[in-house]
Amino acid sequence: MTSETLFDALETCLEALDRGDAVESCLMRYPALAEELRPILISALEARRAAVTEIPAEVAARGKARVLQAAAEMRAERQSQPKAAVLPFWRQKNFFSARFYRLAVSASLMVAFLLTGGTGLVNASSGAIPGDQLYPVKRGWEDVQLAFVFNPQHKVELEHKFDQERVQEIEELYTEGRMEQVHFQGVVQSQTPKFWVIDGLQVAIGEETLFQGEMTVNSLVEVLGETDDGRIKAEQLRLLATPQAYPTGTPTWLPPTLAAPESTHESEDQSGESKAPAGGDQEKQDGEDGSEGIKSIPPPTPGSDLSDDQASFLPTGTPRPGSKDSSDSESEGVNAIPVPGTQTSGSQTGSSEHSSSSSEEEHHSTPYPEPTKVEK
Amino acid sequence: MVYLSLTKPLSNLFSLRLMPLPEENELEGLQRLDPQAISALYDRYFPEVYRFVCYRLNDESLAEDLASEVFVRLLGAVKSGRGPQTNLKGWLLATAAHLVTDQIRQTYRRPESDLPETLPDVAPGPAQDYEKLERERRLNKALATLTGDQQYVINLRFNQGYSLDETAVLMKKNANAVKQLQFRALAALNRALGEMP
Repeated sequence: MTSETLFDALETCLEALDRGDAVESCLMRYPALAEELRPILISALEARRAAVTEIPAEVAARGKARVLQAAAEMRAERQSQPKAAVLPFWRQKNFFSARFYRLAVSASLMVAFLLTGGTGLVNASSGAIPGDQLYPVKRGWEDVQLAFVFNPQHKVELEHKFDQERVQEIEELYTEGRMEQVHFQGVVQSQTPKFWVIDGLQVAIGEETLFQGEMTVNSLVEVLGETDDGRIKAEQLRLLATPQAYPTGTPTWLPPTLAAPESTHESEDQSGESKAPAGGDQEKQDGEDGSEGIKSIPPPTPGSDLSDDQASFLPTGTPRPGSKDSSDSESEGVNAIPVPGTQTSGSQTGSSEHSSSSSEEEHHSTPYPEPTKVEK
Repeated sequence: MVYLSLTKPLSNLFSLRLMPLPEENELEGLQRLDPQAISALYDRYFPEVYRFVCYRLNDESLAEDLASEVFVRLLGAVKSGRGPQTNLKGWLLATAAHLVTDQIRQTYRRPESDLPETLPDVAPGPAQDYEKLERERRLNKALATLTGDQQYVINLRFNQGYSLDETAVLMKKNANAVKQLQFRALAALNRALGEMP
């Protein structure tokens, strides 16, 4: 008789005791093990006899009062602290777990592909949107693609493509009326106390929204939130890069309330873009989109440190971390962002002097410090 | 074709993680320190936590304090981002086990006294209650000689009444490991009880 069967026999006997069998009748099933099992079963009965069954109602009530009191104190403490200090991003497991999860998925997929030499699952996942079962495959595959692109220029191009993909996915979610958690990066295009526009998407700011870093218009931010009725309820916002002056292309986003076909506002024809000077073609296309806000956008400034090709890869209006500024182009960058849902677009087309004193009160001014990249 | 046939089981696999668990919703409420969410969570888990603590301490007022302390610690952990991501019940019971162990350790540091003459009359019913108390006291002393895991498995299986599989999930072990552990725990308990006067 192996030990394994002894352990199994004990479990069987314990289940029989639970059903109300007597110790001896249980042991009759295992005559060879009876002597060994008997004291064990008697101990089990002893352990069970002391089981706590009654919980006085007042005990539960007192305990609950104490816990709720502690919660109230924590709430008060949280309110008295700046929000960013409450839950630092690097201490939150949730925020990055999605990325680790995706990488784990994609790593295992890589092995599968190497073994079988195909991409069927990835193809199947290409139309997935957040909440779909294959969505992690899609995002994981994107991570893998990025990890294996070593040319910085191509990498930026690919990132831009994926950024566009995020916007399209979210718009699909809107169309389907689905509430799903979304996670993307984008540029803050306007800020009001309750709503920000990030990459053309309206992001609702609530009391529960957690902020990491001082985010101003033109900041590159990471957003974790949930789609809800044509907007995103922000749960967490994290600064990735502060705004910096560079000859932006044209901010091509449209506030969702102004234009229907936002999802196609950014040209997907990469080759067409790359031949044009920064933002040139795009600006034209945007004008055709019929946005009123676009009128306020100044033309791109010559003398950029970025090559035309590089500039065309940037999401329009996206300050990429690490790109260099030239001092005379700073003014253009500052002015580049019009305000959705607000007026005075004409006043923003001016020079740098007007830029930091934007006429919209609710907008934060953007001092444009030296580019600083926030650790991811 | 291979991929098509793979898609379904794999997607099921993903859906296991992607579908929000009831516990995840509870944890969201906790993060906001929402009184209703906390209240609901407390009502759901307090009985189990209290029974778990009371089994080992055999002191209702102390068990009451420690059981509510488990929930206060949960709030603190969730607030600072160190809270459980899954298996909330497992987290609560493991925390309860730590608190109980600490409490017992402190008790042992103090000079131990047997049941005093002036023991408060919690539930009048003379000889029978004394016997019950004495039996529980012996069991607790015997349990205290076991390892942490052995104490834990006995509490989960024989006090809480969890099945083998539930216990395995809560202890993050497989069922066979729990079978072995409970065997050794009961054998050790039997020896400890036998050595007592």
